[in-house]
This record gives sequence, structure tokens and C-alpha cells, in this order.
Amino acid sequence: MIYETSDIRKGLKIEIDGAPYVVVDFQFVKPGKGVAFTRTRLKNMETGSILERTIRTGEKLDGADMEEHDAEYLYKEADHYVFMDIESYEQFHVAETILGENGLFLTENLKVKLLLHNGRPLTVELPNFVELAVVESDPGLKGDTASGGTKPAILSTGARIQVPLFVNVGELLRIDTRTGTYVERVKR
Amino acid sequence: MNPIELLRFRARVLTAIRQFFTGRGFWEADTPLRVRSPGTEVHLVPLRVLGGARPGDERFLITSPELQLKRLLVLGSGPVFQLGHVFRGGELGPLHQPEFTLLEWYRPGSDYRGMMADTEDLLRFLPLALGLPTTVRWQGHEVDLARPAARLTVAEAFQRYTGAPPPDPTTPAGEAAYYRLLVEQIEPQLGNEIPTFLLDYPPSQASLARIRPGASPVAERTELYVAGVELCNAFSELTDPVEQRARVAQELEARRLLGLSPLPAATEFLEALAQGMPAAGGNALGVDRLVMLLAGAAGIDEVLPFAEPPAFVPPAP
Repeated sequence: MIYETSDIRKGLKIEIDGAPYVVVDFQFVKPGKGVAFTRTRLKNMETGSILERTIRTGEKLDGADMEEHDAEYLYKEADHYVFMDIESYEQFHVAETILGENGLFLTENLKVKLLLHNGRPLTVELPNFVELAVVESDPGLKGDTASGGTKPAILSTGARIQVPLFVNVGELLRIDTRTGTYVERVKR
Repeated sequence: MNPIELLRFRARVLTAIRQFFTGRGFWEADTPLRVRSPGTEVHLVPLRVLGGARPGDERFLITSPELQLKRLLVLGSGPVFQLGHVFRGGELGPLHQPEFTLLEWYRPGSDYRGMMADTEDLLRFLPLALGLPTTVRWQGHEVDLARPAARLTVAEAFQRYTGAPPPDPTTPAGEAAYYRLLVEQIEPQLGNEIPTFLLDYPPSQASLARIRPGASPVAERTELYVAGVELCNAFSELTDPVEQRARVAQELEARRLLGLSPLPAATEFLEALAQGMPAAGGNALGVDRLVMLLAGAAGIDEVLPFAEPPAFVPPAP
């Protein structure tokens, strides 16, 4: 896919030197009677680093070859997570580093969106909320349930989060995967 | 200010501009927006209009009233200005709209220095006439419009902000490099404390300006910057019909080499020049940008009714 500068908009995914970038901001600039440019702020989708680039009107841009797959989590193997495409059953190995902390919110058969760049996994988008059980947490102080204080807890997947003092071992919690924070207790 | 207050403020600025010029012996011309030739400048995209007196008539919307006002000068208009809408395709951003408001004025017997003086006078006059402080704020910069403007040549600006002379803009690649440095490294630095005139352009970068001969000839062209915003473009006007005809031919050839749509040569303008145009200074000023700065707005769309959204999102293919 080839784009023109007039196609540039927030969210457009392009490829520069083999790396995928998403447009986070752009602005048309043109000195009077001069050559026109689009000033862009691009985010590298692999590293998160920001690139500023001024693109001349008429220059062509390579669209990043992106594919989104509905997949589910199978298991972990060494430093990879293994996912399976729900339709084709094709398996994808995703490096631990791509998921980062979110790897600790994966549970068997969790449905995810797998984004591939040139056929290689780029990002794994988890559901906004997951439910996980508390396996370890100090009992809260008696009579302190309304203080709004928090304490650390370890969840069934090994994730460590801050929870309210009233949360007990064995309870099921709803977690927001975008922020990695506790939302509420869920009845089993 | 709410949207209506901004538009009423804009109306007051337009009134004050007319007051400024009519009080100085200029009269307000009202030349056609729909013309046979919109000029041939390489980096402007005129909008084409079909139909009119006859179904197949091809006309263009003006990118500036320059050619028509110069025809009036030839007819003996004397000092003249026009305040109205102009059209340039493909231009959309915080400081660009495909339809915008241009103030253009011509002073016979003057040159680009006279235009710089007129512009400074106008910038001092407007806050006073509108009962505003003379300091404008834009993107973190505070600029006092009442202070005499700085003057910086293009050669000095490239040396100061890029550490080297400007690239030779006479080839397409050199021109792109020249403008890239201008937009990335120079323009954002201009006029951040006091209004600043950039002046004396490479001869190839001013199709309608007089060239001052010398060891390194320059075009007598100037642009005013306030807080990095380009406000106006003035020339010592080229009056030589032979030279002007040669430049039009060059531009048409450059357009052809770049694969741009062909445009009719500005025959009526060239014929008028041959009748003898008086020496003159001329200036074109972006009124929406000026209103934006005076109103403290973030973009010109805020001071225009029903503007195109500057971050237009095209429909998905």
C-alpha cells in the first residue's frame, strides 16, 4: 500500500527503514510560494520511540503491512508465549518482551487480538478486563476496611498488584489490563 | 471569546484595515475572483471552475489578486488595495485553508522597503484602533507588534540557524532542500521576540519581484514573521515586461517537468505590463493569521466561519 502526504492522518501506519510507525500527530506547513510539507510525529510500534519527520508533498509513503488476527493464549514456552489463530489454528510464538508486564495477565484460552507486521507478531492486545484470583496477600487490618488504603497481592498468574485492604486470598478480582490496576471483586 | 465574539472581532479587524488604507490615500478595488489565468507559480494550486457565460468556459479562482491589481496600476489606479477571499488547492492546516482572506496593497513609486514601513505602521495601528494591548501571544511566544521589526536577510538567516549558506534552489532537489531547512530550522525561530522581516531572497524564489543586480544578485522580496507565523510577502514589483514574460515561460516549463497540470499564460497581465507599469511596492498579507494572532486563537479555522477542519480525516477507502 502506497500513501500520499494527503493521506496522512492520526493512526495511519507506515513503514520506514523496515520498521512500523504510527502517525501520532501531523501538521501541514508551507512557506508562501514555496514547497509544501507535512510535519509528522511518528511512534515506532516496536520500540515506542518517537520520530519527527518532515515529509515533502509528493513524496510517497509505504504503508506498513499489518494484519490483525483473533487468537487465544495457549501456553508459555521458555521466553515465548504461544497463541493460536482462532480460525486457521495457526500458532504464533510471541517473545516475552512484546507483552512486557501484560504477560502476567494471560490465562489459558484468553481471547486476544494479535497484530502482525510483515507476518511477525508486533503487539498483543488483551481484553480490557480480565478476572484473576488472589493467591497471596496479608490479611487486612481489622476495622480498617473503609480507610481506602491498599496492600500488595499476588494473583494466580504471578502478577503483583495493589488491592484494597478488604481483599482476601481466594477472591476473584477484575483487573484493567490497560493500566494494570484493580477494578473490583467478582462473585465466583 | 465564543465563536460569534471571535467573528465579530474579525469584522472589527477588517473595518480597521479598511480605515488604515483609506486614511492613507488608498482606494479599495474589487477585482474578479474568477479569471482566465490565475498566474503560473509552480507551488500554487489554482482551483479550476468550468462554465460561466458558456458551458465550456474554463476559468480559475484567484490565488491572489496580484495580476488584476497590477493591471489597475497600469491603468493609473494610484495606491490601491484589495481585501477579499483567495483560493489555493491542497492547503489545509492550523495556518492554511483552501479559501482564505488576503489583503493586498500596491504603492506606486515605492519598493519593498516602503512595504516594510507600511506593514510596521499597520501593525502599530491595529491594536490601537481596536483598543488592544500591542503584545500578541502565540504558542508560548510573546511579541510586541509596536516595536520596530528586525531585518534579517535569507543568507544571514541560513548562516545563523543552519550554519551554512542556503542550498542552491535552482534545481528541484536543491529547492526541496532549501525549503526543508526553511520550515524545519529557520521559520520556527523567526519573530519570537520582535516581528522580523526575512528579506533578499534567492532570485529564483520570487517570480514577480525585481532582482537587485550585484556580485550576488537577490530578489527584492520580504516576508514578515511574528511568533514563527509568516504574515505577509512583499516585493519591489517587477515591471519589465520582457523579463516577466521569460519568467512565466520558465514557470510553465517547470510545471511541465514536474508533471503538474498546464495553466494558461497570463496573457492579459503580460500585455498590460507592456503598456508600462509604474515602479511599485506590493504586499500580500494573510488576514486570517493576523486576526488569529490578535485574538489569541490557536488556528485560523477559529477565526473563520465554517472553515474546513484542519485535521480533516478522509473517509476510509
